[in-house]
Amino acid sequence: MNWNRGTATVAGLALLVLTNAVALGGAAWNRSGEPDSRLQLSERELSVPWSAWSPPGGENSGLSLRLDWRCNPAATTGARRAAYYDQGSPGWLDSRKMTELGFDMGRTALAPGFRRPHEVREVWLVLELDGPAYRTWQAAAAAEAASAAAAEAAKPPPHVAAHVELPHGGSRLFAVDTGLDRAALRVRYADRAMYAVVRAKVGRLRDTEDVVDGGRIESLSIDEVNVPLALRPAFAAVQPGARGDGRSRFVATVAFGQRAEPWLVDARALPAAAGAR
Amino acid sequence: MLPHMTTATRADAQSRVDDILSFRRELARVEAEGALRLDDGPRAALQRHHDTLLAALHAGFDVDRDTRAKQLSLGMRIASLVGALALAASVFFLFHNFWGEFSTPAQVATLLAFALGSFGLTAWLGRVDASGYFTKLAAMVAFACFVLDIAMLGQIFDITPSDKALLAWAAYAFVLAYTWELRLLLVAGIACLVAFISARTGTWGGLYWLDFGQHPENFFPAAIAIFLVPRVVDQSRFPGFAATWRVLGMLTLFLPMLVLANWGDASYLAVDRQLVEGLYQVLGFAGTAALTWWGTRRDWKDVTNTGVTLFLIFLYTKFFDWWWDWMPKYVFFLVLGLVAVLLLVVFRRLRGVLA
Repeated sequence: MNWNRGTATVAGLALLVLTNAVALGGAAWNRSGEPDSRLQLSERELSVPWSAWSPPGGENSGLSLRLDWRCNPAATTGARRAAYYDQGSPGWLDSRKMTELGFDMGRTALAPGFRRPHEVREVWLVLELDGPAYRTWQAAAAAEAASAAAAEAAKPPPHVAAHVELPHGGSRLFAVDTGLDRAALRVRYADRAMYAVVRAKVGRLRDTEDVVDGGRIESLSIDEVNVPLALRPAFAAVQPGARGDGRSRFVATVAFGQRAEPWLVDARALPAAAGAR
Repeated sequence: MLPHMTTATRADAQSRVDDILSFRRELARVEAEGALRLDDGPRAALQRHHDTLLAALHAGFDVDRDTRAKQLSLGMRIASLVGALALAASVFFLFHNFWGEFSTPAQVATLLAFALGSFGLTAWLGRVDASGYFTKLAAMVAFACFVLDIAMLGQIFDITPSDKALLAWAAYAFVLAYTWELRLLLVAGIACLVAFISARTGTWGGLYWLDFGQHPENFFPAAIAIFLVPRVVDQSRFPGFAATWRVLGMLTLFLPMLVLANWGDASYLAVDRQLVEGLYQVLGFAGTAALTWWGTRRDWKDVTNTGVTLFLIFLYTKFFDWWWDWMPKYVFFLVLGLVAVLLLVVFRRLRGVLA
C-alpha cells in the first residue's frame, strides 16, 4: 500500500474510532445483564483516598472512592509478622494456596547469595461483605479488648485506656479466598449480595519474612470506583481520612459486572444522627 | 525540471539548498585563486537557475537559505519541542480541572471530540504549514489527547488496566510520525512499543504486566526488535528515523544492562548476585565496544556515538564503584582524564586504519 497523507488520515481516524469503540464496548458489556455481584457498602468500605481528593477549587474535579477491604491474618509467630505485613496477608493464603496460584514456593533451588525478586501475579479474589470472616474478626477484637482491659485493670493506678480497635469499626469487607478459576469460586461463594469475585494482585511474602511461608494480597486490580456526577451529592460531606464518629454518612451500591469491573449503581447520603455503623 | 519534482521531503530540499550555497562559496574561492573564470553568460544562467531553485524550494518547503536562518531554525525547533510538551501537559490538566463537572456522556463526548479535533487540526496544519513546526505542536497535542482519552475512559468506567492500550498509543504515534515526519512522535511511539513488548515479556515470565520494570531483562527482546526495525522496514524516505530506531534500541538494551551490572538482585538468573553483576558488566563493555566498531564500519554515526557514550558510562560507573571511596579525589579525576586521553589515542588510530 502506498502511504500518503490521505491514507494516513483514514488510518488515524480508524484507529481513534476503533480504540474508543473497543473501550466503550467493553465497558458496556461489563455492565450488561445481571451484575455478577451487587454489594451495599457504607463509608466503612468506601473512602476518599488522598490521591483522588482535591479541595474545592483544586485542580482535579473528579471523585473516586477507594474500596477498603481487609483480612484475618495468620496467627502471629514472631515480631516480624506483626503490624504492616499482616494487613494483606490472610491466614488462608499459605504456601499450599500460593502453589495452587502458580507460585514457586520452593527454597532449596536458590543459589547462595541469590535474593529472589518480589513476584506478583493477578488472580481472582473473593471479597465477603459482613459475613463469617467479619464475625471472626469481631470476636478476636472483642477478646483482645477484654484482655487488654483486664491487663490494664491488674496494673496499679492510674489506669490508662487500652488502645485497641473497637469491634464495630473498620471495613466489613474481608478477603476470604482466591483462585485461578472465577466460575469455580462463584459456585463456591454463590451469594451475590455477600460475595464479589474480583481481580487482585498477589505476591509471595518477601524474602526478609521467612518466618511464615505464604502470600500477601498486594492490592485489588481496580481499587477505586469512579463517582459519576449524578451521584456526587451523596458524598458532599465526605473528605479523605475523616470518618467522624464512626457512623457512615452514606450508603452506596457497588455492582461488579461481566468483566468483574465495579461501578457505582446508587448512593444516598444519610443524616448524621441516622448514620449506619 | 522543477525542484519539487526532484525533492520529496523538507530534508532533501534543505540538502539541495546547502549544496547550492556551498557551490557558490567554493566557486568564489576558485575564481579568487585564479584557477577558473566563468564567462558572464554561463555565470548568469547558473545564477538564475540557482535563484529559481532556491525560491521554489523556500516556497515549497520553507527551507533555510543562509546561516542566520539556520540558527533561527534551531531556536524554532527547540521552541516547538518545549511548546509541544507544554501543550500536551496543558490538555491533561485542563481536562482534570473540569471533567468532574460533566455527566458521563458529556465526559465521553468531550474526550472523543478532543481526540478527533486535535487529529483534524494536525491534518490541516500538515497541509498548510511548510515548516512543520506548528504541525509538530498539533501532533503532540493530538497524541496527548488520545492518551488522555483512553486513560480517562479507563478511569470513568473503572476498566481493568491493560497493556493493549500501549499498542494503540504506539500505533497512533507512528501514524502521526510517519505522515508528517515527526521524530518526537516517533520517539513517543517507540517508547510505547518498548513498554508493550517488555510488559508482554514480563507476563510470560509470570509477572503482573505493570511490574515489568522489576526485571530489567524484560527490556532485552524489545531492544533487539527496535534496533532491527530499520533493517526490516525501509526508512530512507524519513530522514533521521533509522538513526532514532537504532539509538533507542541501544539505549533500551544497555541501560537495563547497566542496572543489572550494578544490581544483580533484579535478574531472572537464579545465581549468585555478584556473578550476575559481573556477567552484565562484561556484556555491557563487549556489546558497546562491538556496536561502536560496527557503527564505524557501516558509517552509522548514531550507533558509533551512542556506543562510545554508553561504553564510557559503563567504564566510569565501574571506576566510581571501585575507587571513589578510597582514592583521593584528585587522583580519581586524574585517572578519568588519563582514560579519556587513552581513548582519544585509540580512536585516532582507529580512524587512521579505517580511512
